[in-house]
Amino acid sequence: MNFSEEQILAMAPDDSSKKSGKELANPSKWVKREWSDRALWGECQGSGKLPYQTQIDLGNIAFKCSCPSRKFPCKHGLGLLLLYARDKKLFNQAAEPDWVTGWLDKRNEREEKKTEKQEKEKEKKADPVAQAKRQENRMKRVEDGMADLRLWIGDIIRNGLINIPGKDPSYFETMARRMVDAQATGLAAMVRSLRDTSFYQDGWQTPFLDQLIRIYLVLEGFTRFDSLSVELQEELKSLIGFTQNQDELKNETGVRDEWFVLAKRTDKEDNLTTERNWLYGVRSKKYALILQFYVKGQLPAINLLPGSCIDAEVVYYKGVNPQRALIKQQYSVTAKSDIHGFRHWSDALASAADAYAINPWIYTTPVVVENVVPYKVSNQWILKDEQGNGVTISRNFAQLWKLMSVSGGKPVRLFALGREHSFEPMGVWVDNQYILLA
Amino acid sequence: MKSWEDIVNKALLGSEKASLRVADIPASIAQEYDLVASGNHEEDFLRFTSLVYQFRQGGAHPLDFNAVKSVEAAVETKQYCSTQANDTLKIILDEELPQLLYLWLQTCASRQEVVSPEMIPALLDIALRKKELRKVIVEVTGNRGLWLATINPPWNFSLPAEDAKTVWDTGTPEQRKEVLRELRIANPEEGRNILESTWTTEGANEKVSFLDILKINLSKSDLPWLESLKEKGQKVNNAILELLKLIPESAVVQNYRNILSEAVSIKTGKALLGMINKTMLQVDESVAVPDAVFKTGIEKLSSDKNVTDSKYILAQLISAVPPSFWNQHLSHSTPEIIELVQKEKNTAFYLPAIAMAAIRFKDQEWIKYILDKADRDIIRSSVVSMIGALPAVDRDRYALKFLKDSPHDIIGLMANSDVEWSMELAKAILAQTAHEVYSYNRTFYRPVMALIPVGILDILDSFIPNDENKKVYWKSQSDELARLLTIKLQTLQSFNA
Repeated sequence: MNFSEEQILAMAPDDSSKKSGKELANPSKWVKREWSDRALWGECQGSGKLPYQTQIDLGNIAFKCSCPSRKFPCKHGLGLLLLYARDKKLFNQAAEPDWVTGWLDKRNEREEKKTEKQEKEKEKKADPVAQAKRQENRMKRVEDGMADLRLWIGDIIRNGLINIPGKDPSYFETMARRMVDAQATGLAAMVRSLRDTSFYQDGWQTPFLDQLIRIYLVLEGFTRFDSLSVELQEELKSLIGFTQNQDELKNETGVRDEWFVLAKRTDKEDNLTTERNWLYGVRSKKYALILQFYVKGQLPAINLLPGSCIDAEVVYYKGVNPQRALIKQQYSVTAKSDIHGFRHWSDALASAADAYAINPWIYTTPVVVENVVPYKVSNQWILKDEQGNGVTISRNFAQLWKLMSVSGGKPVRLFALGREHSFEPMGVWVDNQYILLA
Repeated sequence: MKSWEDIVNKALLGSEKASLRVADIPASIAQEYDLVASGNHEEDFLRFTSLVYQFRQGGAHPLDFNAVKSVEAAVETKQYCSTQANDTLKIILDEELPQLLYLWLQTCASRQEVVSPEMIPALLDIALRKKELRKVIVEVTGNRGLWLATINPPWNFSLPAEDAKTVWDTGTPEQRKEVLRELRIANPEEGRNILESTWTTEGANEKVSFLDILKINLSKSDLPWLESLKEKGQKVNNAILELLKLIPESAVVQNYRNILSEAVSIKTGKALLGMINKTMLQVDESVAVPDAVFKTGIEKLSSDKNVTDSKYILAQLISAVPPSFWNQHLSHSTPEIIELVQKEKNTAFYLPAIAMAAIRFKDQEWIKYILDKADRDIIRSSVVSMIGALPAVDRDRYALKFLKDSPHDIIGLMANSDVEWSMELAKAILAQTAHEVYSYNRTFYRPVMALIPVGILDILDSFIPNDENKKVYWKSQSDELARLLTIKLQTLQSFNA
C-alpha cells in the first residue's frame, strides 16, 4: 500500500500528534522496524524501561501501541507509518512476532463476526413486502418534506433575496433539518449550500439563485417522476438523497481503462473527511469522480495519487451522464499516458452545454484544454486559448501565482473544473510533467 | 446575459413587488415553449427563471480576449537545480527552517542554478518579508522571478526605491532610521549630510537615535560636523561625545593621549647586579588630569576599594585611546608592549583597559596579540567581547582556545555566528552541551544547526552525558539534532547529485 504523507497526517487526532508523529518518523527512534504482508510493526524507545510496541494492520488500516497515550492513533503509530511511507527500505521483512499475530487474529475474528452479522441483517432485509412498505413510507415522508420545501422557496421568491444575506444561519438549518427528517438528505445538503453562499462577494445573487433553481427543478421533476426516463429517475433519487447500493453497483459491468488521476481534493468537516478524486479515462475519454469518506483514525480504502495512471475497472453510479463512480477493481499502476484535451474553450463549453441539456443539476464540468495561457487583465485573471478566447479564473483559486510561475506566460495543457465563464485550474502539464494545482 | 440580470434584479425585490412576466423572458425562449403566466407569481418566477437558467448555462460562449497581449518569461540562462534539491527546499519551507533556507539559497546561487518555477512564488513571498534574503532569492528565481515581478509589482525588488530624501523628509521615524542606516552603509558622507540638513528641526530623542546610527562607518570625515555641534540637551551631548570618543583624531581622544603620554613611559635600568639591562613600563599615577576631562565621561572616584582613584582614572583613559597609540608612544611592537604591561602586577592592572580599547577601536591585530600573549587570568573579563570583535575566520580558533574558561559565554557568542563552526569547535561545543541537557535543549539546537558541520552526524552518538538522568534527555535532543542535520546534509548533497 502506498500512502502519501498528507493522507497519513490526516489521520492524526490533533496538531500536536502530527508534529510528534513527524518527529518520530526518524529511523534512530526505532530499535526495531519490520513488516510482513499483513502488518507493520516496530519498537520505539520511549521514556519507559521497555520500548513501546507499535503495530499497524496494513490490510485494513488500524493501529495498536503499548504506549499509555489515549490519543488514537498515537504519535508512535503515525511516526511508524510515516517512516514506512517515506522509505520502505528501512524496514525488514520478518515473521510476525506473537504480539502482532495475536492482535491480527483477534481483528480477523471480529471482522468475521461482523460480516456474519451483516449477512444475517441482509437476510432479514430481504423480505420484499417489508422492503416495499419501508419504501412507501419513505416516499411519503419525502413528498411531505418536499411540499414544505416548495413553500419555503416560494416565500424566498415572494419576499426577495435582498434580505437573505442578513438571515440567521438557523433560517436555512431549520429547513435542512426538516429535509433530514423527511429522509431527503440530498435536499438537506442543497439547502445547506444555499446557507454557504459567499454573501460577501459581489454577484452572490447568481449562485444563490442558481442553487434555488436546482432545488426547484428537483421538486418539479419529482412531480413527473413516473414519466421520466430510468436514468433521470435515478438522478433525481440521488439528488433527493436515496443512496445506491455499492455492492449492487459492483456487480455491474464497468469501464476498464487506463485512468489518469487528475486531482484530489480533501475537505474536512467535523470528524469526516471527504476526498474527491477526478479521473480521466485515456481510451474512453470519460471523466470519473471517485468519492471517499472517512473519519479520524481511518484511511481511505483506495489511495489515488494525482499525476499517476491506474489500470482499473470503474463503475458509474446510475443517473444521467453520471460523473460519480466507484473503482470496482484496480489492476495495476501503469506508466503515465499522454492525454489530450479540447483544442479550444469553445469546444469545451459546447461539450458542457450538451451535458447541461440532459442534466440541469451539474455543478461543475471537468475539462482539459490545450494551449491555454493564464494571464492577468486589470483585476481579472483569465485563461486564454490559442484562438484568443477564454474564461476567467474563479475568484477563490488559491494557486494563481504557482500557475503563473509554472506556465511562464507560455501555453500549457490545463485541467480545470468550472461552469460557464468561470473555471478553477486543478493541474497543468509542463514539459510532459503534470503539476498539481489543487 | 441581460435577461438574467433583469431576473436577478427582480429576484432581489421579490415577486410580490416585481413579478416576472412572460414579456421579461427573451422572445425566442418564450415562443419556443409557448410560455403562459399561471397567475401564481412565485411559481411563474421559478418556472420562467429555470428555463432561462438552462439556456444561460447551456449557451455560454467563451469570452473574447483577442485584445489581450500576454508576454512570455525570458528563457532561463542558468540551469534548473535538481529534483532532489527542489524536494529538500520543500521540506525546509514546510518545517520552517530559516537557517537552512539561507544555506539552500546560497548553495543554489553559488552553483549558478535556478529553482523550479513551482517554488518561485513561495520564495518571492519570503523575500517580501525578509529583506536580507532578497538579493539571493532574486538570483535563484531567475528570469521567471523577474517576469512574475512585472505582473506582481511588490515582488519587484529591483525597482528604484522611493527617493531617500523624500523618505527622510516625509517618512515615519522607523523609515527615516532605515534610510539613514542604508545611506551610512552605502555612502557614509551622504548619510551625514542628510542628517545635517534637518538637524536643527529634529527632537532630542530623534537626534540620539540618529547619532547612534552614525556609528556605522564612523570616520575622521564626520569629525568637523560633530565637533561643531552645540546642543543644549544633556542626552544629545552625551551621544555626540560617545561618537567623538570613537574617532581617534577627535580633540577629546587627543586630550586623553596627551595625559597618557605624560603618565606612561618606558624606563630602562640595570638588573642582576648591573649585568643585564631591564626595561620596565612606568606609570606615573600622580599625573595632572585637567577638570575638563571629567566632563567627558571619565569618572573621578573609584568604586573599588582596592583600586585607587588615580589608577581608576588612568584605566578609563587607557580604554578610550586606540591601542596603536602605544606603539607610537612607546616605540615598541605590540607583543613587546603586552609583555611589558603584564610584567609587573602594578602595570598588569591596565591590560584589561587596553583590551577594551582594542574592542572599542576594532583593532584586530591588538585583539589577536592580547588573546595570544596575555595572561588568561588578567584578561578573562574581556575575552568574549574580544573574540566577538574578530572576523569569523579568526573567531573560531579563539573560541576553541577559550571555550573551557567561559563555556556559556563563548557558546552564546558562537551561536550567533554566521559562519559554520569548524569540526573541532563543533565537537568541543557538543561535548559541553551534551552534558548540560537542561541548559542546551531543542531551542538551542534548532537555530544553531546550520552552524554545525554535517560531519558531526557520524559521531553524534559519542556525545553521551555521564549522568544517567540526563541520558534520556540527550537521546531526544540528539535525535532532533540528527534529523535537522540530515536535512542539512540532504541540502548539500542535493546540489552535488
